[in-house]
Amino acid sequence: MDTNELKRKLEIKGAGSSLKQSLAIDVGSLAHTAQFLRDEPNWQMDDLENISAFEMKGDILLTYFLKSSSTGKTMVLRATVTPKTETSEVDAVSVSHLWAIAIPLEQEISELFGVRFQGGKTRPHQVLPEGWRGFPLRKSYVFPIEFASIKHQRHEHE
Amino acid sequence: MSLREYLATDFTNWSLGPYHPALPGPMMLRLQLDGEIIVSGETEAGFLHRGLEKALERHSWQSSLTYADRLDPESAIFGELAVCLAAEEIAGIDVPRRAQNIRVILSELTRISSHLGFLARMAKAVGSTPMFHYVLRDRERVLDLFELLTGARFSINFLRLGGVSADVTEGFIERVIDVCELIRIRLKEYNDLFSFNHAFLKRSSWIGVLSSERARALGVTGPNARAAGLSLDVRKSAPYSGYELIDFEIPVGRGEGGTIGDAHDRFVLRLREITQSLEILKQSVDSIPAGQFQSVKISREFTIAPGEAYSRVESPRGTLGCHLVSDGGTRPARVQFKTPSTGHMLTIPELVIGTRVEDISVILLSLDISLAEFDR
Repeated sequence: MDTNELKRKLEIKGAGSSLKQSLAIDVGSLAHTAQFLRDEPNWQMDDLENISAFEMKGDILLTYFLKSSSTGKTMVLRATVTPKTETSEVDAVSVSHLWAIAIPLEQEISELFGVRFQGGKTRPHQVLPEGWRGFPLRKSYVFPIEFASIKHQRHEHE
Repeated sequence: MSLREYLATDFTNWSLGPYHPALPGPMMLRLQLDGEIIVSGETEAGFLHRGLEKALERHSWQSSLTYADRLDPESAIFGELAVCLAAEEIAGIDVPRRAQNIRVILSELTRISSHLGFLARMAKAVGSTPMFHYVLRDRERVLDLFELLTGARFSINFLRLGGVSADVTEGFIERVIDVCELIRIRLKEYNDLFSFNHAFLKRSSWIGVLSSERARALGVTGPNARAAGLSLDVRKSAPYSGYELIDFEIPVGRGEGGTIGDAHDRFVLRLREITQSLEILKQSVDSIPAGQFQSVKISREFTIAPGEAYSRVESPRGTLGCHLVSDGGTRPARVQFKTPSTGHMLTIPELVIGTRVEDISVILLSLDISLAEFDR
């Protein structure tokens, strides 16, 4: 999506007139759209409040909560990524070059949902222990019965 | 060879943690030192990850509040409140005015309790044992109030969707007024004994200086942002639970002991925030209306229509966000917290550069980071 198309889309949505505006975008244009909203004088969405992810019917929905520190207006950007299988990782684009707060938020989503943020600064295993397999916040995730030789299965007392 | 070249040494790498008294909780702090001067710092967390957000998805709406209570044990009500506000928005549940008032009273008592805990930790960081004991003694009086109302001193598990679990008990309001008066007197004593004490000023002023520009760039909120000069507070910018009806001020850093945004400023700002909390409490208890304390009774089979909401509350450490998604089932489909400590952690590598090793504990503890809420 180029800048003009984005502007048209935002005008159609009427975003900026209310505190509850959301825009669904293609994950490929995420960084471009975010940068536009941050730098464009009419928007000035200079504050990334939060990045949240949740899984719905096999899709992982990434939600970006933006806020303008000068006008107080808020906006939600949403992009969807779909992993090929229940256990495979999927790619998205990092916005950590625009907002430093994105670094720890992307790190969590990377480990817990298996989303790789291209161009980001995610490191292996910050939240989960070294050697942990799978992405615990996916709906299909099955908890291991053993990790690092420690069994997690509960036995009923007789 | 010159003397400077002769004495030159390589940088030293030093790791603190994951368990160390200078740290705010279980975390690793990797430092590169030139003598006693810190050249660079890097943090690593995750040692307290409990899978809290996953646990919230596996319990009924009511039980999930009990887990949200454990987000930050020192300010338990704010996790509950964030989930309640989001769930009530999706479900369209109205909260009676009386219940909103009780929520504000509990929030401000928790803020005072958390800030007193902060003062105690700062006192310990600089070796002031008397101040440490005095503050903890007074915090017990606040925890007594929690026990009187909820039966618990820390994990109060008191909020319910549509209100609170019980009405205020007899004599509670009078006890709140008494404790407010006690804390108001004590604040002056803390200032006389400690806040502007020569030794404490030496240890805390002009170190760990966070500018307003960096605070904004790193997503810092709450008292740390306000000490840096940013007048940010969700209670004013997006009021909830009736804060819009209360008259109070947002203190910002003045740099009284050193400069705006230094460790001492963060300490003094929290003292001033306690004063504002006392003012809010006074207005809340004076205006508590008669009526219901809960608008709905929910069972284990309670469902919320599909939808999502994002709530923001002003916790003692900053803005706590909660993204809640319902798929129409008996359990939340997703609960995600954006905790204030996430932004505070990002400041550590910047704030420690150029400082001396002995200042680490004061700088870190002045940020009031909760590893419990950061790791979740």
